[in-house]
Amino acid sequence: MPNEHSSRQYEQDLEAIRSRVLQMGGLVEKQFFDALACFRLLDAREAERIIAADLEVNQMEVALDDACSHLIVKRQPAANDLRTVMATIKVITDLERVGDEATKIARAASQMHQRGLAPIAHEETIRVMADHAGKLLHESLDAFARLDHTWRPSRLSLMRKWIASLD
Amino acid sequence: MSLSGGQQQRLCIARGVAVKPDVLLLDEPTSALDPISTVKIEELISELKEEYTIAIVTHNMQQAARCSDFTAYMYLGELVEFGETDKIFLNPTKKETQDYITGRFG
Repeated sequence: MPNEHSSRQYEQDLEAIRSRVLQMGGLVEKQFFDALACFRLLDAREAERIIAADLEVNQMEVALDDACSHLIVKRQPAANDLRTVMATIKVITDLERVGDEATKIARAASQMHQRGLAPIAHEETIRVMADHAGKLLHESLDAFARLDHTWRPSRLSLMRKWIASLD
Repeated sequence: MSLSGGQQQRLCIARGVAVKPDVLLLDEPTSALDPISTVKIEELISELKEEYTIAIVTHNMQQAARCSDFTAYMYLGELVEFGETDKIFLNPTKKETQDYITGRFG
């Protein structure tokens, strides 16, 4: 932020929310990549760890949601501060869902391992898709960190076209 | 007979309206009032704005956001920014305006 808020506590509260969103983003990103590695290797023990780690992501979402509500009640944020809080509430819901999806991938890996299935035939297709999705997630978190409003998910339309071509 | 602060203020507004003005200027109409009287004045303003153009001076940011259709931000006698209230409070054009309404001073 270019200017310090006249209330230092308010500035700290806002900054804490921003940095915790990024921390949650980092955690979710790791979950996502770990889940994919786990799917590739069909590592059941790693799958258990990923599923258990989702609890932390869920707890972070609840805590951040709470922090946003408190900030609204106590400070009545306006303009860019308000947009930051509103965006945060949406972003953490989506990040929590990415965590859930990572859990599903890990669970699928675990079930395949239990049934003694070998890594699937479409591994390359999944790898390309996961690569796109992972970069999209990384770039969007980057844009949030830099407060970059010019970033556009060009990769998204690329990915949609690519998925459509598979049908 | 004694009138409460809110009643006195509403009486003053009634006196202003009595002469059927084109514009009603209210300079900090609720700065000395309790929250309930403030709500009554604000409701009166929203009724009166159907028939009169009202210019209201306030340091209460939420009041400006609640009561007005357009907001002008002035600093040291200069007009910094003027626009629709929603735009000013959600996405102002000038950095000075943003700094002021978010509590930062530029």
